[in-house]
Amino acid sequence: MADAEVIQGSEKTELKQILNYRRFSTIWKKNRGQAVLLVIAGILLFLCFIPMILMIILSLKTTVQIYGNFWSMPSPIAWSNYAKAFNLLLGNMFNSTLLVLIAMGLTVFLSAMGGYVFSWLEFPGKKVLFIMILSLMMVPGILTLTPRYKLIVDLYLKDTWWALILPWVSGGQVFGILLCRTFMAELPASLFEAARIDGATEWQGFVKISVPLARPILTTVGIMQIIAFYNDFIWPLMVIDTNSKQVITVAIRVFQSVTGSNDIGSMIAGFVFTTLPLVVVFIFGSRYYIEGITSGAIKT
Amino acid sequence: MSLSKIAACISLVLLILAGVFLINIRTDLDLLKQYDFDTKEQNTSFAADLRTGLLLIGTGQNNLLAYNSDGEILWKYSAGGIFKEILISETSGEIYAGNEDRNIYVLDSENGKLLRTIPIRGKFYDMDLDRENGLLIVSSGISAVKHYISLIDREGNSLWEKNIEITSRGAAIFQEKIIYGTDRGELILIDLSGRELKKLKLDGQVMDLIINDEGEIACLTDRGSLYFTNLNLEQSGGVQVRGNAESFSVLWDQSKVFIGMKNGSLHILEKSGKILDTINFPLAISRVYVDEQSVTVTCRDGFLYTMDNSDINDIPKNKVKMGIAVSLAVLASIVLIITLFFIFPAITALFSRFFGTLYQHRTAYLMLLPIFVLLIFFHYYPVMIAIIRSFTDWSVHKDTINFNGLDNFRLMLDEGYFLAGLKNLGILSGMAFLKLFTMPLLAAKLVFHMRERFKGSFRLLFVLPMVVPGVVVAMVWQNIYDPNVGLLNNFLEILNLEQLQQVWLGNEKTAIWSIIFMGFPFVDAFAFLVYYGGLINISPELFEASNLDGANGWWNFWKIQIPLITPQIKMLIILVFVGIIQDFAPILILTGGGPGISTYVPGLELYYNVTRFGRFGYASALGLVMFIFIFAGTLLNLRIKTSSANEL
Repeated sequence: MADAEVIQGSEKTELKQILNYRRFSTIWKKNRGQAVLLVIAGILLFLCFIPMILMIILSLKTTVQIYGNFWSMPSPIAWSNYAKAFNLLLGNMFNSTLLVLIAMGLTVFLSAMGGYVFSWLEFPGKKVLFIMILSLMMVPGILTLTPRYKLIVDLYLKDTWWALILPWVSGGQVFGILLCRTFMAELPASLFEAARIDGATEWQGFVKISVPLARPILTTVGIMQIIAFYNDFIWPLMVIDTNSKQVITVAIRVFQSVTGSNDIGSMIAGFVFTTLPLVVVFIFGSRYYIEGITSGAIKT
Repeated sequence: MSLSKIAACISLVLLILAGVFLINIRTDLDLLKQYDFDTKEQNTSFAADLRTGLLLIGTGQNNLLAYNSDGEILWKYSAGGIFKEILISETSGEIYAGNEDRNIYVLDSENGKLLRTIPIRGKFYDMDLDRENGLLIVSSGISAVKHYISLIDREGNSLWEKNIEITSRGAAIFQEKIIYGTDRGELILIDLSGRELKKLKLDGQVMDLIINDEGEIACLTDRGSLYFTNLNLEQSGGVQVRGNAESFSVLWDQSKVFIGMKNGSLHILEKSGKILDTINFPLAISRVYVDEQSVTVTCRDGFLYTMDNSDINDIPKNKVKMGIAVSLAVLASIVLIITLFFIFPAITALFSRFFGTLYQHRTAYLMLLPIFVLLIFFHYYPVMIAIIRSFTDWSVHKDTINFNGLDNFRLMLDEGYFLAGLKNLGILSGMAFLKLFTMPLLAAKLVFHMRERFKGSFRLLFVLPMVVPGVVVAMVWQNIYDPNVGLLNNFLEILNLEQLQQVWLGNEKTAIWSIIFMGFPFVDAFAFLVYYGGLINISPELFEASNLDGANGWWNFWKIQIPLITPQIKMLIILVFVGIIQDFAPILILTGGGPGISTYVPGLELYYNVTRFGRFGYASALGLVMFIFIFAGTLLNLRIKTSSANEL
């Protein structure tokens, strides 16, 4: 800048321009990579969001508007679509929420308990029992689908909520126990020893030490299970017959085939309505979910 | 010592006494007598003539057999179909036998000679005879929408018939009133001219209905509900059992109800609904028949099971006696076992060691108990059954399960659906891997190289589409592919590419590719996060070192990042492979396997066999084959992992 003070008049402005250009070009050079990255990522994100954007726009249009001009924005906005979807799906939404929460609570509880037993307690047969649980990771759901369905029928559980809760919890706890065991095994042993010396029972060690310290992994397990249970489609479709007992993911399919092409707006509003609970879960739990996966806790 | 020996002797004596006592109580199966003849056919219907002691049995082999009470066969009449219902007219000594071959045969009960044939329209379902005026009401049908109720007089002339347009499995007549039940769950009252008088809505398909001499109506639905009404169809009571009911009867003067189930259980209930007893028969019950003397049950075997009406009142008493005897036996056994411990110290030591260990570690075992109870029911037991029953003809249509070797696996190759599905599965999984290796990795790389302040929000945005449930994603894409209001065809229109417009999911050539294209641009949130997690866990020093050596970004990517995220890639490969084999839900929603079988996959074939065809054995075999694929794929993947790790 010292040189610039000596130069006078028009040359000064010329120099300014050059300097500006230089500053710009250095900024450009420095950030060129980032800009390209952001643009590509932006395009990719836009493409990812097309179905969601489409869903929101269509859900606010009437059937006439949709058939009339597909590309037009909703005007006037057809809020009645949401009223209709809400009315018809509220009961099923309640079922889903209640069932998923109950099943999630039980799964997290059993996972924590199993994780604790296999990481901190010593007892005869521990290895065998653990291998029995581990081996279930190799058993795909499709193998057991037929006998499990028949079992539910034979136990007279078909068309009851037990048919959903029990198999969900049974399946969910396997992965949960393995995650919890890995996490809890890394807790400092001195804590448990100190508690034992102070006269705490094994159960107290679980309730007072393991569970509070394992809260992050328990939250991760809980969120993963909520997502898994809520998304389940085939199993509820098979075991629940009465629509008033049905979960939302199957009910929305029924709703879709009822409204069909006569009332596309309401149908899509139903899709948005079905998505809402997971949006709530995402707002509160995305951090745990993302950290749970990226921290490398999940590996084969 | 001697004291315990005395105690042992006493308890042993008590145990024997309890045993004797138990043997002497007439158990359920003793109450049931079995006639000592076997028709060697599947019994489907039954009637008894009390005055002559004649027993009439209709069978699945199209025969009507008449026995006397000593079990000697008197005569036999064969027809073209199954005898569904047998009625005896006490006044005329005639037998009315409804047959699925579209005829009602009227036979002479003395010698089984055919007196006359009453042809009916369609397959025979049910009939009832008004014994006072000889009018016969018949329910028969050709299809679910062509079903007739007809009134026939004594000579066999049809007075009128009426198409009720829904299947009716039960019809009865009493004092100029006719009642029939429909598959729509309605009980309908009509008069002798066929005019509808009243209707009552029930909870399920009407399976059977009867009217007693006082005009009380009892009606059974397939949901296991039994309704009692008067002649005006005003409900006066009801009972409920669980499961699929097949036939029932009522012992009116004792207020007892007998309901036979498709699974072979016979429930004996009070009319108030209290279950007195349940007797299990080996096969599905076809008919429960009650007259003034006894209750007779036929299953799908060749025997007749019967019970005296007077014995039925003993059932509760027997239950009490049985309870006393059993508790006595249990008590005596406990005392005996305890004293045995005193007499033989070695057993004591062994047991105390076993229970001692259990007790010492009781917390651990108790905490594992609920976990393993669930796993045994919903995992270990189903796995066992799935493997064993893959080699059987397990099906809803059969009462027995027989081993049939490799028939199910042969069927997979013969029927063609499985092979067609396998081909599609190959295309789908190949494309799934292609999608997995490109887009999520690209997104992870982009976010990884971003400045710190962008990373968080972009990472979140790439994960956000995860909130849309899979079912909704599939249905939104179904909408995108819609030929009229779909995004895709509208988009082609504004590009002036109308000639490319398609009925995407309805065209055999494009359907499978439409399913593959679903989820564009394929940035799967989970895979993205796993890749991203792998990238950020690589130590930055590695890049610094390689940059000093003059390496560029491309080299870093191939030589550092890819090898170091191999564990994550392997894991994703397994998950995607397992997922693509098992997750047929999007296909079920988008195309249901069609058009034709162009988007069929093995998982869908399994699903249809369980839910639509009830071929459980075949479905288990499909599951087993898919499990073997998954298992082999996983093992292969693990092997490659170890060998490439060795190279590093």
